[in-house]
Amino acid sequence: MKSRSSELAVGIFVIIFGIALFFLAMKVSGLVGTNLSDSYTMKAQFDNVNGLKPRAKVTMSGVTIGRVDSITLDPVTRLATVTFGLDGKLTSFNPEQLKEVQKNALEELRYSSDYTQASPAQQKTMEQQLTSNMTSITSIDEDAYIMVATNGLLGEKYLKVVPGGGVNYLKRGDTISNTQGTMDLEDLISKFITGGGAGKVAAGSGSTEADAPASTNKDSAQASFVE
Amino acid sequence: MNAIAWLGRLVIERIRGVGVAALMLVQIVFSFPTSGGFGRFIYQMHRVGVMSLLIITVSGLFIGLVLGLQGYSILVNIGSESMLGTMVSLTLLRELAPVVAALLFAGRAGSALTAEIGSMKQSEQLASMEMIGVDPLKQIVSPRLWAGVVSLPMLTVIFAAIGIVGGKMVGVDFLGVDEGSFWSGMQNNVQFGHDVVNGIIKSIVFALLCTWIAVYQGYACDPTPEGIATAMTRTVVYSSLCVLGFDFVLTAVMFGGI
Repeated sequence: MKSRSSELAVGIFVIIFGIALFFLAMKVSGLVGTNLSDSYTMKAQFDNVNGLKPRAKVTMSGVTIGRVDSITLDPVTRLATVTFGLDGKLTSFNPEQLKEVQKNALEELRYSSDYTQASPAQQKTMEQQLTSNMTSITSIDEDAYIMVATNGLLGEKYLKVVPGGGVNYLKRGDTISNTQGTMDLEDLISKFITGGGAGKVAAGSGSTEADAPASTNKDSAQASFVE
Repeated sequence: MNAIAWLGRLVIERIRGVGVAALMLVQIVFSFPTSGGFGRFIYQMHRVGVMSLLIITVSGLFIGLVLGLQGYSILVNIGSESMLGTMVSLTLLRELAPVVAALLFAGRAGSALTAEIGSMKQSEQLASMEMIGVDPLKQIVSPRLWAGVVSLPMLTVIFAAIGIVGGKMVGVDFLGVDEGSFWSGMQNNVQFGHDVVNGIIKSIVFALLCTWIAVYQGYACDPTPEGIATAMTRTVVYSSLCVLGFDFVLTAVMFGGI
């Protein structure tokens, strides 16, 4: 009898443990698998991803559209390669919108000089190529850029996709080429002080010092706010 | 001269004790399970684990409440009280839950194990078991050791979960931190494989240390009322020191690198 009741108590203990572990896994570490519907991955290369972590969110216009999967270092370019999963439902057009987009793209094509100079057969293939290219597009256009943004002044880093105004759209699995890495306040300050690069520090003496502040301003403005 | 001899004997005794304890652990770990061993294990789980549940949950709740309160009053100064969830959960998962649960466990269950085995030794139950050919290590010590090793990690997980709920109660329900940012900050910063699993690994090590010290002190104690009392004191003191020392080493290994 004693052993039966202790078995029952241990059973309850194990169940409480299971609930607690489930709570830690799901609610605390957010291990919900992926709640992105129809997800696909894209890549972007940054010069600096300081502070960005895997599982950080990816947003567009403030709406979370994905999560960072992994951050690796490209050995050739020495840039940080960020792979992130995006929600297919939020970042692709529905069939009607897709038709509209294709129509706009075709119109654009018809006004281009290549098209008007080509023969009718070539024009046909160009049109077909365009529409076949348009089948698995996302709603992220080629002019869009992606940046490492900060949530509030001290908050965590996340990726922000800023849409551009282009009519050509990226396909699933593409790389977003316009990027802006983490804006380090210290880098900005050191650029401001040294005039854009470490090499200038040695040269920054005597007569060059007079025009240094002006060029410094321009340099840092170009270097850090280029989009 | 006498004092030097006493010191030498003390050191030799301690080193011999470590050796005996290590041999005992090896004997227990590499012994085959006996018939009825599982039933004894379950019974010890009940005594060691389930009976510690109340003190673990209550202290977990209060530590969570205090963390929520302290964290809020610190973080609100720099306007980042939305980080409260991250702070509470990481503090609990990485450090407080394994360490505090192990300290409580050493006090609640470890000393009881020592006293039980010690008084068995005093009433010569262990000796009579050996007489009739039953290995007291397998019969008495092994189920207690395994029960401790299994139940402390479980208690630690429960401790951390209750503590986080307590931190949420104070932070979100009383002090008005936004619930969404509380949970989402936590989910963005807590990695299951890194934080939760390392906390559980820590508590497995602590569990082995605490129960090992407890059963050894009981098994090797002086079979007098005074000897049992000394052994119980040593159990709690050595366990606490080992837990805190190993906590530093494990933290350095787990979280010290990149």
